[in-house]
Amino acid sequence: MLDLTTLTDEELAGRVGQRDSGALEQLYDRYVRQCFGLAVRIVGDAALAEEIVQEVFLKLWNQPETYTQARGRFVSWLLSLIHHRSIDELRRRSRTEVPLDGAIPGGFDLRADPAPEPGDQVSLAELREGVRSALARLPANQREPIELSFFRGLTHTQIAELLGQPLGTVKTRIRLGMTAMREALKSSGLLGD
Amino acid sequence: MESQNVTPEEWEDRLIHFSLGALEPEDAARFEAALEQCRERARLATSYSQVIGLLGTTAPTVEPPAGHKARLLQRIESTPQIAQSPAVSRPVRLTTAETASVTPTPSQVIDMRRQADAWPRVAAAAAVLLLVAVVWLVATLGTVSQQQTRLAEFERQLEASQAQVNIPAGYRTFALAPTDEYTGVSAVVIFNPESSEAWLVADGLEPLPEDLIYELWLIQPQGQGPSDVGGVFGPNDVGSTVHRTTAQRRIGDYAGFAVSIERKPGVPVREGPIVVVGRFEGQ
Repeated sequence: MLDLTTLTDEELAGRVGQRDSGALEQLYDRYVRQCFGLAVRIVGDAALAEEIVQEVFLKLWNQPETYTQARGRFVSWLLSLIHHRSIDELRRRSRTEVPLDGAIPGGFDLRADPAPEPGDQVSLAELREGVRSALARLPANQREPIELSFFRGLTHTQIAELLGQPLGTVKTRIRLGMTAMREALKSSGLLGD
Repeated sequence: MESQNVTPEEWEDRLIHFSLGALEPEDAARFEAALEQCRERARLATSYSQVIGLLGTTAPTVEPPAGHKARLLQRIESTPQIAQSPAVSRPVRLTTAETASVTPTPSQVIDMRRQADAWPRVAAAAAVLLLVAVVWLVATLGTVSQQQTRLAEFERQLEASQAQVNIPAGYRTFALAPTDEYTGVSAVVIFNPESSEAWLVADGLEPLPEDLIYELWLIQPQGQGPSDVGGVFGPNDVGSTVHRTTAQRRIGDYAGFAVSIERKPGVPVREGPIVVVGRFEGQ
């Protein structure tokens, strides 16, 4: 019998397309904690985060053709779905209030993992470290607006108002930061381009 | 549509903000339409979408509550297998919708979430069904007996159309009826009752003043509270739209759809006039 734990994410995703529920279980076991953690981090509601994660995995099961290797690494595709779904929920429920003092609680966690969590894929830990390393190299004034948009779903207009900066400045800093992130991740081989 | 005079740097700037979800909803919708037309730019979009996904790895991992996996597997088991041939679904009776109150949600327009393979089939199905819906709606201005005859004919044509355009298995179509003031509007909704996604395909939409926008509603079953917002949209130059929405839960859990005209950027509770509406039962 085939040991699914030895298959790559992309191979497992292919087997999901062949209605192999065991392959979906394997992907779930690999990434549910990261998916759930991201959803909770954004929406701040465990029950809502549960449903978001369920819906994304259910979507993978019902529409496996939505992922192809042309879309890059499976995990980045999966987490982007979680992110977008979470932001949609966040905006729908209008939970975009920010502290009046302008503090930005809970931005990107740049601390290194003390040790991988049990069950974590080695590749996920490597990705995480690579992303954190790239983020840490960004100036704070580029990282902050990206954090506000990524975790709070704020538009650049809202970010400019919150930070008290011109809209053009915010847009430029987001662009510079994201471009730098893309280049850094591409150089370190973490993008599936 | 995006301006033809946007420089590559300006375009990439908007792409970054689009990928991050930082564009205003109307801008995001226009940008996505432009994105569709450029494969090379779509490849770059895929790259930035990957960056977004990888940023998600910075969130702390959290163990989901007990039973989460079991519930997912149960839902998977209850999902029907994909059939070899497309299912043909019949439309149901149309009735007038009730007033609803909702909270807004932006429509899901980001490329990474699109059903790339199903979209051409869905779009082709929508075009044919819309034409049939227009014919049917014009024909229903007659007497009751004539309407019954025409409804039967519409259903026959709808089934024939669905068979011709190979609608994906499990998908259904549902025509919405225009209200008295908007008889020129035709609309159908294409959806899978087991999924949370649906497409509204509409024609005959009048352009709106700058401060107004069309808004889609997902009607709850009787007594189950206010409707959910299905997103906002505007017609193209010829008065048509294809609007995709992702609901809070299975489309089959809802009782119908409606479109109204609201203040920008959309409202949590319906205030404006209803344009098209329909309630289905027995999902």
